Amino acid sequence: MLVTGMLALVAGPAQALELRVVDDGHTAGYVTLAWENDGDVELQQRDGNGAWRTVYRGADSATTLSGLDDGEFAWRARPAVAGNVTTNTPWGKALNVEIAHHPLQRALGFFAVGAVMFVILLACIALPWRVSGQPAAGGQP
Amino acid sequence: MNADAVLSTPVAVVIVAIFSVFWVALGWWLGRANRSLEDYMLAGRHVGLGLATATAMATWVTSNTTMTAPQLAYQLGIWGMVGYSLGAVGLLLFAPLAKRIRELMPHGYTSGDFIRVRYGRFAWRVFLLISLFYALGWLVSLAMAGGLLVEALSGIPYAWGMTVIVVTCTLYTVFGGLRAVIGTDFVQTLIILAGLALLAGLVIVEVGFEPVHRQLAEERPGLLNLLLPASLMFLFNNLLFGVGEIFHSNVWWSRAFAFGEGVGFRAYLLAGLMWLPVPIVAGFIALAAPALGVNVPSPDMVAPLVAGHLMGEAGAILVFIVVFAALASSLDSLLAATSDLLLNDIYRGHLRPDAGEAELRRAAAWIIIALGALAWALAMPRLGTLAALLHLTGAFVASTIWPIVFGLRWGRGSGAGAASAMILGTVCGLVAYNVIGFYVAALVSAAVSLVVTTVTFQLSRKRFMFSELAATRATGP
Amino acid sequence: MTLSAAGLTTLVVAALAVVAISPFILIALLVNDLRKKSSW
Repeated sequence: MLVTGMLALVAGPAQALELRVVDDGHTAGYVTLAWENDGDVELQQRDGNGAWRTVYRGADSATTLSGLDDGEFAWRARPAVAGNVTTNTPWGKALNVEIAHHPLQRALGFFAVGAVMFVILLACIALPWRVSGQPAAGGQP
Repeated sequence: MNADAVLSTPVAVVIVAIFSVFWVALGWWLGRANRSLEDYMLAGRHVGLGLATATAMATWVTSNTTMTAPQLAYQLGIWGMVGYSLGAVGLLLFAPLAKRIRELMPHGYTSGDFIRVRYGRFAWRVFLLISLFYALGWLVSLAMAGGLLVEALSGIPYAWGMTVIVVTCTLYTVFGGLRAVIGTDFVQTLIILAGLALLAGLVIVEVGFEPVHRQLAEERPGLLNLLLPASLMFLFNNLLFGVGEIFHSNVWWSRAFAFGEGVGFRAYLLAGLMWLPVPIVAGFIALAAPALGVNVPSPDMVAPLVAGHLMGEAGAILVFIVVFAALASSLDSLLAATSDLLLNDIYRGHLRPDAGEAELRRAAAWIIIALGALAWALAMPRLGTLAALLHLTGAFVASTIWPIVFGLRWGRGSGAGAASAMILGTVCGLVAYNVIGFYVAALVSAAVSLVVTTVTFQLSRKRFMFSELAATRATGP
Repeated sequence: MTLSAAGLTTLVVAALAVVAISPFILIALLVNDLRKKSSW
């Protein structure tokens, strides 16, 4: 099987603790953020209610947020020493992402087109096949 | 740096060395019985049910099944993982086709043979372009995935890991032909299934369903949402993508020709049923990440991260072996089937129609080597854009579904109609990919192709005599 | 509409059961083929 692959493994250089989006799934409710750092980092998220909360603290230089609802989200990060917050370190610039899922109606529309095709395909394949070697007389698709 | 390399490099080197030698030796041993070109390309045309089922399964389980299914579960939630498992429908639906194909073309060699006889040379060439683009894209992406995964899991440099995997698979495919591919696939299937079952079992024992579910509901409720719009769009798209891949690709046609009489139908059906739960089991491993507090820097690495977190080095070794088996079992099949297509449809079909058996037998081996070398050369520069190309193939392959299905069932239709269905479907699929997202490309392509195929079948006066197919041999036109 | 814990459990347990018995089915089929000498 194919589908999506290895893109997110590749990351380039950037400013210290400036967040960037490396995999943008804002119409599907996920986003992968990346940053450059030498030590531990604290990452905060602000969702609809306006309050910041910590979503990650550690030495990785990227994280994937998923299952996000519609709305305006913001993330900010700062260096955190050995996992403990150093309160006087200023936060980097906040990164805003608007999560807007496809309208349910559009999604169901595609779903329906897919379902209809699947039923046609099923019928084409599951209905009895002509004996081989016979000329196919007036077959209708 | 992200905390990736979960396995120590010396251990990984030993594992790679042991398995590489094992696969090549097994392939050589299995290939001893090859006498004729038919033996080499199609394993003598009477592969039994056990090996047939295992090879279909193993080929369809790629590194993507073990890595992307968890990624989709992590990004698109429950429907991402269930949608991925609907890739099995391609195998299930191909079962009756495999039976039909073998009955209609008892002496056929490739999917190209069918299109050429059924629709003529122009449609054949369009089909070959789509097919070879897809095969090469898949081949290069597997080679790249191999290098990237081995590096991420073990710290072995990309170029080395990629080279070893490509060389190993090329060697045993050259030595043993399809017999080697099918034989090694059997062992690889057992490794993949046992490894996945063990890992998922461990997640259940160590974490449990309740905590996994609770953490998801709290932190990422969207993943449990059964009406997540993108996932709904993805569902049938993925199904049709898989159907397009299987229906057109010579990987599956050559197996339909190679399986013994009456084996194809049962083998594909059984393989589909066994494949269906694999992405769900693999996806569940990813859903445990929030409950375990595992950070996921890049979502395609979520499975090894969870395994490493749960089992330490043992988990890393397990994932490494499973991924290596999954890569090899697909890479070898693709090398064999694509070189068949090149040999039969390009070398004999276009270049040397009068080539004799001995010449073709030699050419077959050289084509496999050349193809392996080409995949290696393209994968070497490690271009991310090259891997991205692969996502486009959904638009290409889904356009071939209807010309193949209608063409196998009904006598109407024309070469021009089939060719335009494939071209228009592909173009519209590519537009949808760029305008809406990767999760609709195959869907749109298949829908457009369905309309064009239906119209051209209705309008055509021609009646194809299916008996023409029975005479199909691998000779040039 | 949200998948319940019970739903998740059922889905995964059923899938895991099939994955776990598949290797045994494959081996049984192969042994059967070998006995009938119809493998190659």
